[in-house]
Amino acid sequence: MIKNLETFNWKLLWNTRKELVLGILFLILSLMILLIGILQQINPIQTDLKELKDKQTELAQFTQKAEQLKQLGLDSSLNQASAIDQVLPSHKPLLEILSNLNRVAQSSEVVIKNFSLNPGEIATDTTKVRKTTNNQKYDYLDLDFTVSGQLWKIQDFLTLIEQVTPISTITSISINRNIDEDKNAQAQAELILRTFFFTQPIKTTIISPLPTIANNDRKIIENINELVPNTLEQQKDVIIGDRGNLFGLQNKTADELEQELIQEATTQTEQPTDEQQIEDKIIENAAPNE
Amino acid sequence: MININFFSNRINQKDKQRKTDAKFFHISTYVLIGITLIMVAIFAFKFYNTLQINNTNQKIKDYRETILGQENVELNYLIFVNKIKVISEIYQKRSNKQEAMEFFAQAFADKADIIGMNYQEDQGGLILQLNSDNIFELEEVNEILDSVDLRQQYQNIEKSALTRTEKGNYKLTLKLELKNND
Repeated sequence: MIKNLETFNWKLLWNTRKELVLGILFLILSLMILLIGILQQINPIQTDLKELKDKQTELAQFTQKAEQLKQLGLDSSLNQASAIDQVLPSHKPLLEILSNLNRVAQSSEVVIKNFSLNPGEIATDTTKVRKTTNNQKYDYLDLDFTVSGQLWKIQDFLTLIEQVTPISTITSISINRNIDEDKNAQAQAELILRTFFFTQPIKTTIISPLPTIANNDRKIIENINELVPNTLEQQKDVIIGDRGNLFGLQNKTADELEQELIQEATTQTEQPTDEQQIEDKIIENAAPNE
Repeated sequence: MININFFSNRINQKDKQRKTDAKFFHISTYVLIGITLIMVAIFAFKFYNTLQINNTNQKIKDYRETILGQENVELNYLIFVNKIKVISEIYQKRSNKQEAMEFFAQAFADKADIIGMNYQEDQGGLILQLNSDNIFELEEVNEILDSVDLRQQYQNIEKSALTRTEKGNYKLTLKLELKNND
């Protein structure tokens, strides 16, 4: 009896208070679900919601960017890109400057007496191109030169030289005309012509929106169309001097040359050397004595 | 024979206990169903979020491919826009020296010769040297310089020096402020 009291009678409890037992089990189960299935899911759901919000923001940026790129195809101002490249090239426009100078001098009938140009790194390692701005949007080449001619022709020259591409501006003018001795004396003008070129590094990310062209900047496109384009043809091919083959290769490819050298080497090894020929003769002479 | 129920109290107690147990069972059942429903709702919401994230990721991937496919177009456009901005900046810095030269050359066409001109962009302003053959021409030059028309075009003109040569010519030096290009 004492033994029976010590052990709890679960069967009796189940038979007599089944609903109480089930109720307790349900409550325990509910508590477990609350802890595991609900409370523990709050943080992951918050993380998911945050991630979803971030992704939607990112998607909005991508959508905007894709839409902007789509609109670019319809933007007619982009057709001016090649004209803009001529006005502000991405390289040092050394040849263009010289070509312009010659062309404008001819058309305005002035004489260029001397000029000096420091093209910077094109010339030597030591020379440096001066920097115009801190953020390196553009750089320039300064050309110092003297022109002589009638004053009105020099004025024509000054006007025309700023109307050609690449964009150039005269930063220094010093005109002298000695009319004390000759009333129709020609004028001498010492000029510095500054020609600009584009150096700004372009940085962008996949989601950064495209910049828009301001109305003021759009007016620039109209001004650019009034400029006289440079006629200098861009050299894309190497021009052969036609001085013959300096290395004596006779227009052979490297493979052909290699084959030829191998053939020469083998024929030389097959032919007997002088020493071998002498030895052969000695052997032939000695043979009858034996 | 009289029936005496010695367990009547016990039976009443048991009935009461059974009713309490049943009530407790019902409540705990409702609690369990409620919490299970909440859990299902939470998992459904989580699943929906995951679907949304996957869907968004897929769209981002598609857009990324589209944008990367147009990389060259974007690069050309960026160069184009930045070049326009630079050109605009250069244009704004340009002063209209040629216009000033032409204007003064025409204004003094018969009255004086332009014998010298000096212009430095960093200093700004244009220095003109005019030569008049006699005092009467110089007077006419002065009149033109003080005229309303000319002052409307160039407000800041300074007559900085006047010299007379042995031959009786007058050399007048003018300093004028140039207008910037609009």
